[in-house]
Amino acid sequence: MSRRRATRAQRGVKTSEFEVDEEIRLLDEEQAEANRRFEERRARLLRRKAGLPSGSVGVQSMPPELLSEVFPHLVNGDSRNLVWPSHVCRLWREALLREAALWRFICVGEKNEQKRVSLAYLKTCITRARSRLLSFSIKPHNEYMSSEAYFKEILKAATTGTQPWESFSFTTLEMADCVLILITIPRCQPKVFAPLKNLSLTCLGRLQPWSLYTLDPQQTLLGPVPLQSLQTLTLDFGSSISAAKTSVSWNRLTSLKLASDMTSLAYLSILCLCTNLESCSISPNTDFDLGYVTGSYEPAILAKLKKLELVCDSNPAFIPSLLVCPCLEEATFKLNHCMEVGDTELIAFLAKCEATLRRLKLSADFCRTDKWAGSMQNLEELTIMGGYDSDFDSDDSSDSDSDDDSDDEDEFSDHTISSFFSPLVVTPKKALLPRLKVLQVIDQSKRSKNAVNASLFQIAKSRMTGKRNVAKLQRIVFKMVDRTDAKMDQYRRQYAKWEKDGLQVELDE
Amino acid sequence: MVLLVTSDNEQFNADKDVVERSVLIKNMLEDVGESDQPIPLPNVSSSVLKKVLEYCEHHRGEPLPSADADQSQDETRKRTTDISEWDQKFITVDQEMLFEIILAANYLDIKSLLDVGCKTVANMIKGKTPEEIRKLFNIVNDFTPEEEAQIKKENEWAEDR
Repeated sequence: MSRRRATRAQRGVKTSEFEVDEEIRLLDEEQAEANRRFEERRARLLRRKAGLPSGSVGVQSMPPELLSEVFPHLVNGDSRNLVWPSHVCRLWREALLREAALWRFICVGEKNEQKRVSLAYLKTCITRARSRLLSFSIKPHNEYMSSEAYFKEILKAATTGTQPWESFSFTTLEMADCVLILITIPRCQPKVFAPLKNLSLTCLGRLQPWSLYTLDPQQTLLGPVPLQSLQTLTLDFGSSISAAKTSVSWNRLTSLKLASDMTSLAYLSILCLCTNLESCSISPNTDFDLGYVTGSYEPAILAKLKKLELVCDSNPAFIPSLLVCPCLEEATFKLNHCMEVGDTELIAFLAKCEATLRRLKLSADFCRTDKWAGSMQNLEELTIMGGYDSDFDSDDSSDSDSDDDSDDEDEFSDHTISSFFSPLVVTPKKALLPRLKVLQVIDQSKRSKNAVNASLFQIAKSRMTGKRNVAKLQRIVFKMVDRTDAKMDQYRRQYAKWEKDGLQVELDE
Repeated sequence: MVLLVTSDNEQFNADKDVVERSVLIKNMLEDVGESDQPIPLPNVSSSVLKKVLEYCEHHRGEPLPSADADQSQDETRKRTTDISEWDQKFITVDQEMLFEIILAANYLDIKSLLDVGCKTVANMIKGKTPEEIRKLFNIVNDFTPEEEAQIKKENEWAEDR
């Protein structure tokens, strides 16, 4: 009996609890409805006061979820681009402050701001980003704070909130600043740096007397705790590094950019560890390459590599000969001086990648021979960069579109350049690069415009027919001669016709 | 061919592979199967549908963006406001039409068109002060004087740039 009575009493309490909850819910709804009506009425009155139409379709007719589609496009790597839009009206402000992820891109140094302004911006973004992974970019062009000072302030502000970092990009003029970062990061709270996916250190001052390890006597660069989540690493400075002394999980990296002044052999030893790379940009010192190629070394097998960039002073003979990358889709070989010897390995490498290689950028100087193009059956995009002959081009630094050049020089350039390009003209007997759809000639010296214009016109003419199993050209980029004469008029008229036929013509001005 | 009926009762015939750039229409067609029944689009007027079909026709055959594209945090940084030349010419319309196109792209679920519209709006906002933005879009400053003072104080540093 007593149990039944108690149960009834409990039921009574529950019923009354339910009724109270229901009443509160109805009150909340009523309040929300009243607020909505109030806001609507207020907005109507404000629009009337401002003399604005009330019913037309405009940005204010966009629901908040659509505004949230617009705002990410404003960020552009720097969350401060959202500050003024957040001052426009209540709707925008609420929508922007709700999106914590948009406030996580902190870019300091580039705009010449005073210390007070930089720090206030830093604090605001860190607060608004709440628990989102932070992304920092520090650039050196500020007269009020050095890169090092920025780094220390960011570290102070970011680590007090223990917000994790996702990306850190640091550009400086002093190598010592890079070392400071390499030493400091591992000593900070692991919670902050453990998720770091992207690390980029760039030193613009290339001629530094110290090596990285001289500046770090304890040799704790990025050690002892390795950055387990690191996927993208850029070390863009001249000092050499050692894989053994740098605690990076090399085999986890998917993207690597190294610009250290090290021999090809030292680079190869690092590449051998980076088995998961998808993108790689390296700048080996190739002076000893011809000596290395006679030795016996383990190859670097980069089974996932899709994009490769080699920036060297002269022909890279060693690394291409020991690089195995069966998925390579895009390759860039930027050579400051192209030698008569040492191109065999690079040509063999291109032939080895022929099945997958779609986009190729080559220094113009390297194209002196058509041997590289012979095997390229699947190449769709070719970019030719820079001058056509080191000696000839070095005279050309003034880059004047000179009508006062001597005839002899013009003749030399015309002959040299047309010999570079003539193999790409499709003839009944020969059709190199049959799948080529995009041809770009960039960083072209103005003095070479005449000859390049004539050569490219011949190539385009032979490749716009779509005959002989040769793909039709879809895009061509070059510098057009701005002179008006019969020949140039003919070129312009023909390009205009081809544009109607689907060719995209862009001028690299 | 697929028959579409707009909010103002105009009828439009279009190729299936053109209208199927709209996920909404694609799903509707899958639901009704082989049928000649017209598809009503009560939220789209004829003038806007004409523009939308022009866009779909031009981009016919291009791969559709995947549903999860651009969703990750990583992508926010990479988002640019670059718009292809054709799309730029296409979206050069008056403001009312621009927002009608955005609303229609959202309703019809055409992600690439929504993206072009949103990028265009973003380009219009970029580099402008709050007052300039309000003037451009006829937006009322609905902050109370107290709120406005508070916001200004909070972001004083932004004015000093």
